[in-house]
Amino acid sequence: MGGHGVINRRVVTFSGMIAALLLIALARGFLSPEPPGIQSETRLQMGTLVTISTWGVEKGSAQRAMNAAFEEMGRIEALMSRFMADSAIGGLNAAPRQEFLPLTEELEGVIARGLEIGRLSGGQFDIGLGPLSDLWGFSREPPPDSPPAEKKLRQWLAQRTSVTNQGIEIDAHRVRLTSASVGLDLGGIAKGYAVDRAMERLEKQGVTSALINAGGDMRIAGSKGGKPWHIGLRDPRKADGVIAVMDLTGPVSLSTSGDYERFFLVDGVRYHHILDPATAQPARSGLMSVSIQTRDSMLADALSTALFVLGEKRGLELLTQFPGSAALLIREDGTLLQTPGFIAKPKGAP
Amino acid sequence: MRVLVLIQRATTPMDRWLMGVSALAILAGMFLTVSRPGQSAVVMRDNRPVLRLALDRDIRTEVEGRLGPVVIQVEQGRIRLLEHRSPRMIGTRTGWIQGAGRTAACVPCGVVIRVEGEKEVAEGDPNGFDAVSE
Repeated sequence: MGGHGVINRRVVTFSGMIAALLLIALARGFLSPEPPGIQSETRLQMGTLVTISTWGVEKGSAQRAMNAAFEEMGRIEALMSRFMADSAIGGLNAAPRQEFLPLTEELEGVIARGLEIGRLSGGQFDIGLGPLSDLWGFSREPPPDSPPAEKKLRQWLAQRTSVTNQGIEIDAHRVRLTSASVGLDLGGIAKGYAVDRAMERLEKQGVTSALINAGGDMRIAGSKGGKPWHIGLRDPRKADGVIAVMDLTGPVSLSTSGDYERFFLVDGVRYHHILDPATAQPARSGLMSVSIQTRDSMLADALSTALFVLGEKRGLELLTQFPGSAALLIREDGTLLQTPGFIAKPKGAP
Repeated sequence: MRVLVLIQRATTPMDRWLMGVSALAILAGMFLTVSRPGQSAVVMRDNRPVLRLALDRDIRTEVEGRLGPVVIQVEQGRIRLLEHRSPRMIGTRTGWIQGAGRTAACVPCGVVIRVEGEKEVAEGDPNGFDAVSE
């Protein structure tokens, strides 16, 4: 009897210990659950890689919100892409010049914003460069490896009518292009606009902490449970390198334009996709990249292109027209210029 | 202390050894269930999944991209895209990827690969960026 009692006691104690360990393991999961971390999804959209990340949202809800945001970006692409013949912009570019076409309020707003920034930049930010972009062909497959014929560029320059100077007419929700040298290319502004609208969709679905990155055009909402979003800034001359680090808490937008995104080299000369309408050549402004932090992504997108074309002196003058906006310029000699309010530190700095 | 004395009285060394082994097994199980990201990758064509690849088996395969076949290689738990010539071939610039949530893409080909699992950004890793502005 006594022997059985000892054995029973041992079995009970042993079982109790195992049960206790199991309970501890379960309690770890149930009593102190980890808050949902980052949920993210990447899709090809608007000719680039778009990643949406949410923080602190349960997986199913995050997925629904991200689907809605991607849908919104797809809708805007279908409206504003110049590469889609059935988009509003594709149709306008293909229409006979001088012919008025209907214009939605939404598209009118984006075009008006582009024209406003164009005027403030002295015409150097130009949303009417479709035909010039086609001549250079940076969006073609296979991509170009030599510049277009000089004669064709001179012809375009001779015919050029700027959109900020009668190249486009908007009248009572109608629009027309007036010259064959003009074709709308909203590439410098529409991606930013799409990011803004996508963030709105996330917020409507209750997401308060998120990051949308559309090929370098970013918008940030909130933080990761009090920790800022940790963003790297690409080194213009090292494809996998990062030159500066930005710890950002939303709401803030960030956009970078550089001479390394689409380019080719001929005899050591770099020909890139950011074109200067005054010369019909890739902009040679002494800069390798321009990053903008500001309130909305559409403005950040447009300003990063505009400042790149204008260069340091005139670009910074333009920046003063937009309170709350800040810039980080990387000059051709590799030095950095950071305006007050731009949140960044060199990589490796404490 | 009373608990330890009670355990010592109620168990033999063999019991305690068994309890220790059981405890280790439970802890190992807990660890493995929460930290096994990046075991497979999904290949997407125009945002639709077309292939799923286990990363523990070296393989070289192809998927049909918009501009022709795109080679995908898995080796030693890593995966990469091999091109097709294009400066916008983000995948080629990315090179090998591993770790849950990492992606590589050939934009003109319409092909994206993504290592499955919740995205991980290691605490204290200065290179563990949530995104890179470029």
